[in-house]
Amino acid sequence: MKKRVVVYVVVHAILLFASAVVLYPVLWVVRLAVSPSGRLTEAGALPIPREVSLESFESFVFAEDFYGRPIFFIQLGNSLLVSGAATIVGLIFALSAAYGFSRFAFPLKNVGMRTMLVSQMFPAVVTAVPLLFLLDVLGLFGTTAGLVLIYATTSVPFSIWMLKGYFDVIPRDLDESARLDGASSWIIFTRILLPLVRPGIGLTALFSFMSAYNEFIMASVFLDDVTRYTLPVTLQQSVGGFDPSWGLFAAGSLLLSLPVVAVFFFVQRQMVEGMTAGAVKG
Amino acid sequence: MAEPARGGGGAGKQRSRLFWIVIALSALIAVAFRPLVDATSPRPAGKRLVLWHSQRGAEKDVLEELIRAFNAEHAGELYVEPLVVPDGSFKDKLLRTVPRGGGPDVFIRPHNELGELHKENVVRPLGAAALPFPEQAYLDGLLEGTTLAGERYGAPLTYKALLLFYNTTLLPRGPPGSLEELVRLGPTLPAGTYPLAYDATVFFFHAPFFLAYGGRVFADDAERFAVFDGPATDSFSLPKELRAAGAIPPEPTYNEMIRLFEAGQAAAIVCGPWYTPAGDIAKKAAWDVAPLPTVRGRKTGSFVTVEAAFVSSSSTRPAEADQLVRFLAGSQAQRARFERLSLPPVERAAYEAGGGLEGLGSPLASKLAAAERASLEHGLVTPSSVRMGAVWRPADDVLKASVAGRDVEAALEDGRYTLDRVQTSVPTGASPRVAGILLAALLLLGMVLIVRQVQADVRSPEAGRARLIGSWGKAALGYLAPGVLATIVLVFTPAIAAAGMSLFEYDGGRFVFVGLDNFRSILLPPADRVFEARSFYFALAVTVVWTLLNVVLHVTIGVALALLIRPAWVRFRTGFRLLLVLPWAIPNYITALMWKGMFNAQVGAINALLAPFGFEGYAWFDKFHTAFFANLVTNTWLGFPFMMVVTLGALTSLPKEIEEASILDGASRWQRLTSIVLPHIRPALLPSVILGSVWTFNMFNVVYLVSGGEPGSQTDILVSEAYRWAFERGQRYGYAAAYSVLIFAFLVFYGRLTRRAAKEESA
Amino acid sequence: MSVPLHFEHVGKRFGETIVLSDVHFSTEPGELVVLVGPSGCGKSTLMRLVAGLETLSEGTIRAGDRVLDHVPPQDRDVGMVFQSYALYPHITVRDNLAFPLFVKKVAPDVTAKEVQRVAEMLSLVPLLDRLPKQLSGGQRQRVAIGRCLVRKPDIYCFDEPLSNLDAALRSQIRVELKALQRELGKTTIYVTHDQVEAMTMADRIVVLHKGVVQQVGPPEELYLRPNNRFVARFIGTPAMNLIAGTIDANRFIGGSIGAAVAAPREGKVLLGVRPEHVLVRAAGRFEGTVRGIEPVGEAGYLHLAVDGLEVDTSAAGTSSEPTKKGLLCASVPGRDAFAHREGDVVRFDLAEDRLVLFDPDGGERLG
Ligand SMILES: Nc1ncnc2c1ncn2[C@@H]1O[C@H](COP(=O)(O)OP(=O)(O)O)[C@@H](O)[C@H]1O
Ligand SMILES: [Mg+2]
Repeated sequence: MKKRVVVYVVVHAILLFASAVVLYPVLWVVRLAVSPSGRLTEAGALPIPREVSLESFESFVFAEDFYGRPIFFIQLGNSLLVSGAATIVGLIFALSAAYGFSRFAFPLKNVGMRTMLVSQMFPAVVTAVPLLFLLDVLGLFGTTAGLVLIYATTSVPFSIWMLKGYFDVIPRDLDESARLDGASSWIIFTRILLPLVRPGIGLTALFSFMSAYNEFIMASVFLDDVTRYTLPVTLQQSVGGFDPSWGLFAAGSLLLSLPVVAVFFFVQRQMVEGMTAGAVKG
Repeated sequence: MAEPARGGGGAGKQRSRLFWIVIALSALIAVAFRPLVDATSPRPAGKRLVLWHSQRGAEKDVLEELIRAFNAEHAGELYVEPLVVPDGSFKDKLLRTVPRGGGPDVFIRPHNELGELHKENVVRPLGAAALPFPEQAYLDGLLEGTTLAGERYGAPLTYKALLLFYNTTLLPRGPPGSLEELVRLGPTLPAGTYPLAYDATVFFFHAPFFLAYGGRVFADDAERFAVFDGPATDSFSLPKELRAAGAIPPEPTYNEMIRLFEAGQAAAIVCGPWYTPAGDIAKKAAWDVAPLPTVRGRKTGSFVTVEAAFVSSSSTRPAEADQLVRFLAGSQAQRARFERLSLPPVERAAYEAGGGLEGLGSPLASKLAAAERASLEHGLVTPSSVRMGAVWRPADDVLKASVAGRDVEAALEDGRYTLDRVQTSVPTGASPRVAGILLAALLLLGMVLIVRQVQADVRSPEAGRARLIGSWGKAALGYLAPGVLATIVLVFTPAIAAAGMSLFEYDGGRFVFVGLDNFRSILLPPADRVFEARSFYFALAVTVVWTLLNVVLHVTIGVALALLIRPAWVRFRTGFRLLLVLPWAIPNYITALMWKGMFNAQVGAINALLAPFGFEGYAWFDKFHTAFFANLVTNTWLGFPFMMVVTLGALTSLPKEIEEASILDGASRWQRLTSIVLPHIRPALLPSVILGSVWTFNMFNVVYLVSGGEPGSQTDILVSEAYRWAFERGQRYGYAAAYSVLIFAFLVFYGRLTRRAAKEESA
Repeated sequence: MSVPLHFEHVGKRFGETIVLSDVHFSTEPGELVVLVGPSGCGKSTLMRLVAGLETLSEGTIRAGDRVLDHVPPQDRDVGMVFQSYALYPHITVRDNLAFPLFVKKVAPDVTAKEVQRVAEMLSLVPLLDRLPKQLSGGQRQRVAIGRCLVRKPDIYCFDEPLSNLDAALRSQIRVELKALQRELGKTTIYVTHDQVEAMTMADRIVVLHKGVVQQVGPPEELYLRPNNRFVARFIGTPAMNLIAGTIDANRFIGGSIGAAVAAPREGKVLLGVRPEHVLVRAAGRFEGTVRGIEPVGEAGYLHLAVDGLEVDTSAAGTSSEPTKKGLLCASVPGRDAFAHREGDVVRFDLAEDRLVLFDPDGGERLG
């Protein structure tokens, strides 16, 4: 009995400690965001602000462009739109391809699957230039559609890999039975397998959404209208040049992270269940 | 059994409805908001001129006011539309958009990028009407900065040089005229106060000393580097000496300098006109500006950046663009900048009595302008040649070594080595024969392998079965095509193109074929360099250790936390789970910057926490192992949640009894863990570990933003090395591409290895 | 109308591994044929060949006159109940049952009627709106059969449909299934690894071992005249005793036991004796010591150590209750079993008209 109490206390202590470690730097960001000067001017172990000023948040949220348009909201909208669309397009690509890889046989199937993984290995440092050139050739440069396509596609190999795992663990009996009943592969895909890989879809969607939502390098090169910028571009702008305004950056970071954290909150249970299915077989 | 499941489903359903509502609302905002705003904000009439800049705050306000004035003046015929472009992507954006006919008409940029912009043909020489003042009216050097090969490309708006800010309480009689006197003041100042603070870790801020020692960036031919040669090499030891003498703070960085100054702990700092003191010192109005002190009896100045307006070569309205440039560089704009921003005017006359600026601006502005001018006069307008870009980083590295008290001579040697590599990069072209034959052989081999694989696949029993049940080949095409095609076009093609780049060397706007030279010089560094930072092998070793440690930590912590959080009797499980995955939800560049701040020597929370152990003011990035440790902590913080979630997922398929027993049953707990639980989650973890190690191997953001390779590129991993060769050590894109190819090859090799290991294990 | 199935020299390989070889037999129309064999012997594979989920490596399968070899599964009119039931977990029982018709684009009202009919037949009506996970194993199994019935296929395939159920339920459903099959009158292939199930349900049994058909025949034939040692040991609980010995002039001698047999040859043989043909009686000619007693109700088994007797156990491991090593298993009426104690010496005879001889090397039946 005593042992149990000890275990109970120790486990909770460890979890509390881990949570504190996780929260601590975040609290510093909060502290930076609410400090009036936007700077940290003294050392201290506890991230407790002496003065609270919402100035940084205000100037981030109520920023206006040359024509007085509320660009924060516009850009938030753009961010959601672009990453949402990229997620949907990417998922459509990845889901159908993952189904193809999982349930069909064709020449070079294994090679193709391996290549998907391999594509994650080429560092992005030097691929941006050819990519932009390519989009130019395709006539997609500077368009939101182009950006959506880039985001959608860059996450596709990973998503295929992930989703194929989910498809693989669904017993083949299900499709074979449906096949005997005369179901086409489209019916099997849409009516039987899709509903069953839902946790995987949620997780993969989250991944693609996050990577699109946080990206700024492509976006800042690609878009040439303030009202088309995504939020990270503006966030980046706040720390460029000689005199970075860290307060603004901190406030912006928090605002930027909020939607993702919210989505995490919604899908976290699914995720915990979802990961198994996908992860059992790689 | 059915009942609780249904109950759970109800709660879940409610939550997922809420989720969809939120999604729908967001989508509505996303789709509807911008058109709405667009519709309500009418466009002005007339021809449009697009102006790109990356100004913020007050500077941006002033610029926009000026533009409004311009628009009002030309109402109906011409209007300017400004676009803020982040500083970091400005150049790339120009290089990507202008050649294809897009981009701005006019842009405002520091002059030092001119060399590259010119080589890439994105700037257009200014028309005669673009300069608002006659040439001789400009301060010396400014126009030269915006001129290249005899053509004038930019009209100077203002310039930025370094000057001295000083604390009037600490230095009531003004700052001493010389550096030496300033240093001697040290002991007379209150404890904890430094006579001087400046960013001794950055070449730009160190330049006044470098120049005072007679430093030159380039040799007479304006081509060969001379930074690390000649008399000024001694200036690189100065930070070490100053720090040893206690004349500058132990961590002389920009932020620290500002912090000390504003807290009244630095008598004088070297900073630019963009800075306006805030905090304590601003409240007490206890500061003033002055020209830079003399060094070794010589007046000195700094590198000077000329802010100029340029016309892009893609502008379809060059005449109107010139008009805008003239306006932005003209008197009205000069005055506004001086008055509102205290930025120094470019006109010589403005500094003289009757120059048109009296009564304008604060008295401070005049003092500032005078100090700026002095700095310009005794300083150097930064060379705008492309090769200048290769100098900053190596010089910074030497300075950082000096500040950290390391061997300056060795650091200089490193610097020379790096610049040598830039130097030798002047490509001569090579015969494509060897590389061509090699490539053809590789292609042939690839083809043969592929054909054989296709044959094997077509004949496999799996194929027969698939044909029978109708899941063979063509049937899959519709499902595979969109995703695979998109991937091939947008992921593989650029990667292949980039790989192809490794056979070329970039030389200002064009690529020259150099065959396997890049690989040769990467893989065969000079013998004495093999085990030094910046060598491929050194970086590879660092990267491997980095990946290994990270993955071990991620998995250990992730699995441990997942096991702890699993049992039903743990309180606030959902809360813990949510908190613990938080690092995953935060963009990793934010995480990286956050931790960089945490490891700051002076105001960082880590040192504050560890203060009882004597860590006050500890400089984490001075030593390899502590800098590496800082990177490791950051990456562990952001990486363990993934493994935790994967583990939690894997654990859901573990029978409940085993799990509960494994945690409560005392004697055999450890045994059960190692013999039942761990083997159970192992297959689930394996793919994630492979993927995780690939990500970690290429985790650019953390290394680049946290340690920044400190000290002296020692903590750089392969990707950040590649990045530096591409962007910080003289645009060696081909070299960087070769690095990428090697990284790729290594990872593929690693992948094969793990696959084999996995196979053996399951067999 | 019901079609016969003909397997003609069917072989199946997965790469190097030969899973089925030269499977050759036919079914009568409307017959219930049980495929039985230890797990891994290729039963499911054979069934999947019928359904068209695998391709043949050799031979041909015909349904009546129709060669099925290259007919895709959906055109074969084969209904299959998977071992796992393969119910779609995300839709209700009703939708599961309706799925084959939905796929065929049958009108909704027709579908509803059909589903109702089948549900009534299998007493699934109260369960129609549940999800599969809310059903018990037996109910799930009925839904799986129902989904097969809705399609009205010509040939039914059941892959170990009862293996996930507990023993009591199993024997109940066995009876129901058999009745249902009679009612439908369709050719049915039924796979099981449980010989009791095979014996109770089959019109004919096909015994498979390592991909080779050991014997095809009605249950009693398999029981009484097993083709070889494997079938002898596999069919029947407890398994047949195999006693090593020699034949000399139509007389079997093994240890202290001797019996008159009609032997086609002399030399070493294995004598097969079912436990119930070891007749324990006071006047018995032979003598054995009781080493184990298993009273199982109406009957009981005595495991006897007999002087000099070699009881072969090499083919064991497949039947559920292998003969105790080296011991002779004898069946006695249940209440007699309680009367014995370990160590007792009992006397017994062998029912000489029921003895079977096997070749000790090849294992096939002699005569
Ligand atoms: N797709 C396959 N690939 C390779 N071997 C298989 C495959 N399917 C079945 N087998 C092998 O064939 C043998 C027979 O399997 P199966 O027909 O499922 O046996 P059972 O009689 O238990 O139903 C087994 O040894 C199994 O490992
Ligand atoms: Mg089977």
